Amino acid sequence: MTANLAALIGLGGLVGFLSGLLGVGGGFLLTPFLIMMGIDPVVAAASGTCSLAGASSSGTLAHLRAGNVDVPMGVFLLAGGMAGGGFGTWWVRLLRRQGNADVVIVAAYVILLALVGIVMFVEGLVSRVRWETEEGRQTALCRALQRLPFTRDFPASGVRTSMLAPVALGFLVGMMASLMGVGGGFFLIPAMTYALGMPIRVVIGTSLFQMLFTSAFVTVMQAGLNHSVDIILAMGIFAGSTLGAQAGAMTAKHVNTSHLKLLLALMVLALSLKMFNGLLQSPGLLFTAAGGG
Amino acid sequence: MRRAFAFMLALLATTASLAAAGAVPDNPGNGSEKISIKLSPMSVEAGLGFDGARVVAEGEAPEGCQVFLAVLGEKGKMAFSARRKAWAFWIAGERVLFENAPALYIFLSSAPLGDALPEAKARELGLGKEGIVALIASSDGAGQVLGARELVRLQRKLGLYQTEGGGVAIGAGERWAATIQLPGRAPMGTYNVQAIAVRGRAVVAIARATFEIRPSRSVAFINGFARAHGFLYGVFCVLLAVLVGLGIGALFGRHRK
Repeated sequence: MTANLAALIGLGGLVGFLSGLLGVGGGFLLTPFLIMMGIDPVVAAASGTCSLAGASSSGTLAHLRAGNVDVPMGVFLLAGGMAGGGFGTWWVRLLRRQGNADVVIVAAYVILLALVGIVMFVEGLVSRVRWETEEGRQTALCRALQRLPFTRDFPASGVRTSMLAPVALGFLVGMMASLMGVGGGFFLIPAMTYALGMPIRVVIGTSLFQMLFTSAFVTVMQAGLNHSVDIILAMGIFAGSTLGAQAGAMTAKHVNTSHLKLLLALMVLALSLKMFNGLLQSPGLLFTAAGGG
Repeated sequence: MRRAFAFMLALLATTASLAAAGAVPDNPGNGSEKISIKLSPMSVEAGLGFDGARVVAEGEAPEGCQVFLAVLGEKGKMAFSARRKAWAFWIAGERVLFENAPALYIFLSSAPLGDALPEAKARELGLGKEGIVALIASSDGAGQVLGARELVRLQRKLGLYQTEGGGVAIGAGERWAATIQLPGRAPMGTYNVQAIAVRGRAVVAIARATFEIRPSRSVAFINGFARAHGFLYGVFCVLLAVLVGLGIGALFGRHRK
């Protein structure tokens, strides 16, 4: 353990508060902050994935009970997620041995934060960008995916699409979970509505369902292959973020969050630029730790 | 008579072999002056959320002496990658292995090292930044001096090597005291502490003591479990996270109702 437990709970609380206040997933903020606290990027991402499993569990159960989960679609997403998560974990192991894990994780975050920052900024400016399509309306991408092989009906979502589409989506999300410790909701939710044409009612529940099982699988793989899961770290940030999210959600009822969202978007973009600058700058040290045997 | 002669011969041989190996006697001066050292606590328990600890070192030094303290963690293999530039980015390149670098190094002093000891002697004793560089380089080959210097810089950045000195106070009756501040990253194991009394740019006396950082029962269990049964540990982590998640969800769900 390299960080104070109270500081971890505090950090989790801050990220959870922003998440609850502004309605954004907090995973993409947590790992960069942990890295800045001096925690090994691989440990930060793997422990973040473990806390994701906890964070998505009660939501998944609630959506399953309400019938808002397209289980067959979730299973195909999960199959891709497990393949992507397994591949990502193996890749992290390889990068760690070479000593390049920190560079690749930071580079992945530069791209991710830039994308999330831009989307949030646009969302804040144009009062509301609706990712979801109207129910029953199919985009050109939906129709293109239907022309791929292995199509089948997903009755709970009321769509017909190739099984390859959710597997590929799941693969990308699994890769992101193992490399960055994020659930990928910011990517999966628009992709499921826009590319697969699923109604928003089942999108949230199904994405949570795949997030729970993919993050659980990635946690087990990271613990087994890379020994990079720190349970105390995971539980500290999880406890903080859960309480913070509740406080944020309560505060959101009393404040206008549109300006705060713009501010957060600018902060996320600044964080991305800072990390990018760090990648380009000549390192103060000529060595980097090489681990993983 | 023959037995006494054999005993004298063995004693002579032992002394000669110690001298040949460069062993530093505890009283290198005239032999009558001594420095004492006492550590408290001698065993530090690292529990869950361990973020460092303090060990107090104290004792008595010969009159008019300055005191230098070197804390060394267990020596072991350390692997690093030398960075190289690829396009605009700095990535890891050639792997560099150190066989005998201490896991932790802390140097404390009552006076500036350069004023108290000749540079060569400080290096020989492994004191200060150049001393620890020399210590690592000597055990890993002369060609590693540059590498050892980089290793020390990296470990300093991580807080595992503290080479600045200072922190030793000498009070009345030549009693000295220092606080060894162990970082949260300090690995488990046995630590050797060497207290060196210096006067007139010469070493007067040396005393050694050890303390240990040992994991608490829960940490030992979690570490052992995670290392020996990684996949099973992963399943345990997931189950714990899910159970806590469901519990918190139920709690807040009930609260909202």
